[in-house]
Amino acid sequence: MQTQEHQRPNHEGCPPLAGILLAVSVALVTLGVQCIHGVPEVLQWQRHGGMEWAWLTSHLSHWSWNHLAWDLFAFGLLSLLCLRLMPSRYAACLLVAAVFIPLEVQINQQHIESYRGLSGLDTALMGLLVAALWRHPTAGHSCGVSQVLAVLGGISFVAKTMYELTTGGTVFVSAGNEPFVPVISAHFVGFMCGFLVGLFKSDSLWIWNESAVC
Amino acid sequence: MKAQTHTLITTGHRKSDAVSTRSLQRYAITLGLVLGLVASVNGAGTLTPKGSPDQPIQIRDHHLEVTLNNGFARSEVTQTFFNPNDKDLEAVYRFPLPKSASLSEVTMTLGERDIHGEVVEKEKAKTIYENEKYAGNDAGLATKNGYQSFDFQVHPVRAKSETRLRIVYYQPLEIDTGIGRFVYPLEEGGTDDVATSFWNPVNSKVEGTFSAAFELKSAWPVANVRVPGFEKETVTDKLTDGHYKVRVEKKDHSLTGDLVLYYRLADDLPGRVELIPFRKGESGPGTFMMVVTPGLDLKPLTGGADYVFVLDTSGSMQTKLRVLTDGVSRVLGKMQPRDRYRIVTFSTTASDLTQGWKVAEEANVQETLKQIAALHPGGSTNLYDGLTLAMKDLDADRATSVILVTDGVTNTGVVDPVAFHKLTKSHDIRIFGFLLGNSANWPLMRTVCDASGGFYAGVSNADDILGQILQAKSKVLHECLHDAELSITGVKTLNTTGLLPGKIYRGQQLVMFGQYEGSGEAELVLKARMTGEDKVYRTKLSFPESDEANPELERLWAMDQIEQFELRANTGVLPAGESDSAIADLGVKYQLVTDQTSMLVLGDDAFARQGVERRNQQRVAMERSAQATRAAAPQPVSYRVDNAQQPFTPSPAPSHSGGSGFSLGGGGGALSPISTMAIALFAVLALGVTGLSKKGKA
Repeated sequence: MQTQEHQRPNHEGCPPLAGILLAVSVALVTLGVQCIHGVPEVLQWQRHGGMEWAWLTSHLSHWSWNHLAWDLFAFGLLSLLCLRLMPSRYAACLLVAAVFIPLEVQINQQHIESYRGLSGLDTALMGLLVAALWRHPTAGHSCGVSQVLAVLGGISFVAKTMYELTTGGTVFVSAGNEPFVPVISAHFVGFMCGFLVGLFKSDSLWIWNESAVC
Repeated sequence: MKAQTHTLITTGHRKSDAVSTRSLQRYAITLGLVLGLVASVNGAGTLTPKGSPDQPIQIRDHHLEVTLNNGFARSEVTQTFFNPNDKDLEAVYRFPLPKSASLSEVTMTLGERDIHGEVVEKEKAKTIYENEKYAGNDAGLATKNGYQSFDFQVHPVRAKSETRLRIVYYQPLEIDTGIGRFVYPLEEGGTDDVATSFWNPVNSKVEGTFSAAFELKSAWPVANVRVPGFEKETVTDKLTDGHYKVRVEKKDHSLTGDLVLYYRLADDLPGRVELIPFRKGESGPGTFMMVVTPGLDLKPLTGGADYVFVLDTSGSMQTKLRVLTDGVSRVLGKMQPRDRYRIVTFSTTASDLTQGWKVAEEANVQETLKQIAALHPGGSTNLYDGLTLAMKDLDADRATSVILVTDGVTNTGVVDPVAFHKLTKSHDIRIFGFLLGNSANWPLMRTVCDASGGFYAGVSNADDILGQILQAKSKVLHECLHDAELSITGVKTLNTTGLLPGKIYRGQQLVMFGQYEGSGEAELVLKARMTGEDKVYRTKLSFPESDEANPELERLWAMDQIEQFELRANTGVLPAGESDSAIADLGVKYQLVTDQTSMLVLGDDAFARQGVERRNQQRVAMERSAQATRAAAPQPVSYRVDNAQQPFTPSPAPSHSGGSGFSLGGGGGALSPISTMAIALFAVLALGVTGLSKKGKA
C-alpha cells in the first residue's frame, strides 16, 4: 500500500506553500465575490450562457451568505487535511472537479439553469481525503485504521448520495428558503473526481511536487 | 396592523364565551405580536369549537388529493376530527381561500351517515341552518368570508366521536414562463388580528397522518416536479413524460404552512393555443376555457426606466421582511446604470426611504441596501398613502414601473377600491403587485394592477419567494405586447372574460373563459403592438356541438364571471346591488359558494323538508362521471388548436432559462450545518488516525 508519494519527505504536517496559497486564494476570492453586489450572478455557470470560463468561477459564487458559510468552512477544513496528507494532488483535484461538476450539470441536470457553490469542490476534497487515507502508510499492517476509516467514509458518502439520488430527497441538506435546488449529483461527481485523482498511481502528471513550507 | 391587535382581541371576542385559559392564550399571542418576538405562523384547516370545551378538538388525519389536468385543478380535502369532550359541540372549520377557487362539494360524515351540500342564497341558508340546528338535526353551513377564507359551521360534533369533513374545489392552473404552480393554502396569513386570535395552535396538529397525493397529467412533457420544503417526504412517480404522481406523507404534521407543488414544462415548447370546451348536447350555450401561451421574441429593455419599490413594512410583515429585502436587493442588482429607482415604505403612513430618485449605480445601490436592511416592521397598513407617495415626482419622459409588495389588508387611510382605481388611472405607470401569504387583499390588488396595465402575483410563504419575485422581474425588464386585443370570429362567443388583456408580458399565459353558441370553425386573432410595430397572429379553431369531458368548466366559467362582477363593482362601473344580485344568481345556478350564497349541508330528508332543490347533487354526479372517464384515459388529452406547421405565434414559448435564480432553475451544491459537522468529525478522525499511524511508524 505504500506509494512513491509517501516515501518523499516533508509531506505530512508541512503543507506546500503553493497549496496553501491556492486554498487561501480560493477562500478569499469566494468571500470577495459574495461581497460585491451583482458579481455572483456574473460568475455563476449558466445554461445557454456561452461563457465557458464560468465552469470554473461558478464554484466561487454562492446564492447567499448562509450558503457560502458552510461551504467555506468545509473547504478550509478539508483543504487543511488534504494539503497535509496528499498535497501533490490538491490542485489537480480541485481543477478536475471544477470542470467535471458543471459538465455533469450541463449534460444530466437539464432542469438546472444555473449553478453556484463551493460544496462540489468540498466533496472532491472529501474524495481526495478518503483516497489519501486509503493510501496512507500503515505501520507494517496490510490494513490499518486509516484504511478502515477510508472505507467507512467512502461507503457513508456513497450510500448517502445513492439514497438521495434514488429517492429525490436529501439527507441533511435543505435549501429551505434559499433560491436554489441542491444538486446531489454535483456532490457525487465531486467526490468521485477527488477520489480518482487521489487513487491515480502515477505522480508524474501532477501540477507541482510540493516544496514544503516548513 | 399590530397596533390594533389588543383592541380587537380584548373588545372583539368572537361569538365564543372565552374562558380564562383561552384569553390568556390570546393575550400571550397578542403580546408576542406586539413585541415582535413571535414569528407567528397560524394554521388553518382546524376545527374550532364555539363555547368553552375542556379539550380542543383533535385532528385525526388530513388527506389532500389533487388532480391537475386540462388546465384546472380539482382538490379534494378529507379531514377527520375527534371531539374528546363529554358533550356535543358546535364548531367552525376555517380554511384559507385559494384565489379563484370554486368550493363545489362539502360532505360531512357523522357516524355512518354522509350528508351533502347544496348552495342557496346566503340569508336563506343561514335561516335554514339555524332552524335545523335548534331542531337538533345534523347540519353544516359553508360561507365565504370575503377574499380571505371559507368558514364552515358544523353542528353537532358529537362527544367522543369522529366527524369527517370532505370538501372539493376547483381552480384554474397558473403556468408562468413554463412553470406550473399549485398552492394548497394552510397558513393563515397573519394579517388579520381576529383570525390570529381565532387559530388555536394546539389543535392545528394532525395526530395521525397528513398526506397529499398529486396526479399531474400534462399534454406537454414535464421536465421536473418539486414540493419545496417536503423533499424528504415526497415520493415522485413518473409514469410518462407528462404524467406524474407525487405523494407527500408526514406524521405529526402541523397545518401551519402551505404546500406548494411546482412543475416545470420542458424547454423549447412551442407557443400555442389550447381550447377546452364543454357542451352537454346541443341545447344551450357551450362553455370554453382558452389558454394562450404566446411564443414571442420579447427583447430585454435596454433604455433607461424608472422603478418605484413600494414596500409594506407594517407589523404583519415581521417574518417576511428579510426575504422581501433580499428580493428587492436582487432586483436592484439587475438594473442598468441608466435606470433610476426610489424606495417608498408604508405602514401607518408612507415615507420616501431614498428621498427621491437614485441612479442605479453601485454606490447608490449599496447605500440603499443598507437602508433597506435597517427597516423594521410595525404599524398598520396604509396602502393608499404608499401608492400616492410613489406617484409623486414622476418623469413624463421616462417609463415608470411600480413594484408593490404587501401581505396586508388595507386597513388605514383610504380603503375604497374606487379611490384606488382613480388614483391608478390618473398616472401613466404600470403597477406590479406581489402578495405575500394567504390573507392579502387580492381583489384590491387586481383592481389596482389591472387598471395600470400591470399584473399581480400571489406568493406563498412556502414558495421560493425570491424566485417568484425574480421571475416577475424578468417580465418587468423585458418589453411587452401593447394594446393586445383578442377576438374570435366565425362562432358567436358571449360572456367572455379577459378578451382584452391590454398588455402581455414575457412568459405570461392568458387564460380565458367564455360561452359559445352554435358550433363549427372559428378564427382567433390577436392584434398587438410590439416595439412600435403592429402585429397580428391568427389561428383556426373549432367549437364542438357536444363535448362532455370537462363539465367542471361551467363552475370555473361562472367563478370567473363572478370575479368580473366584483371587479366592476370595485371600480364603480357597476352598482354594488346589481353586482350582488348577478353573483347570487350565478352562485345558485352553478352551485358556487360566494359572498351572496352559502352551502347548506343537510340530510336528504331535511333538504326535502326545507324545499331545497338538489342542483349540486346532479352537477356533482355529472362531474364524477366525467372524472372517472378522464382517469381511465391512458394519456393526457391535447387540446392544442394550432399546429406545428402553422403555429399561432412564431417563437417557442419562453421557459425558465436565463438563471434568474428561480428554484427550479437555480442549482448549487449545498452543505447544511449537520453535514458540515459530519465532515468535520470525519476530518478529526482522519487527523487522529494519520497522527496515530505516524507515531506507530516512528
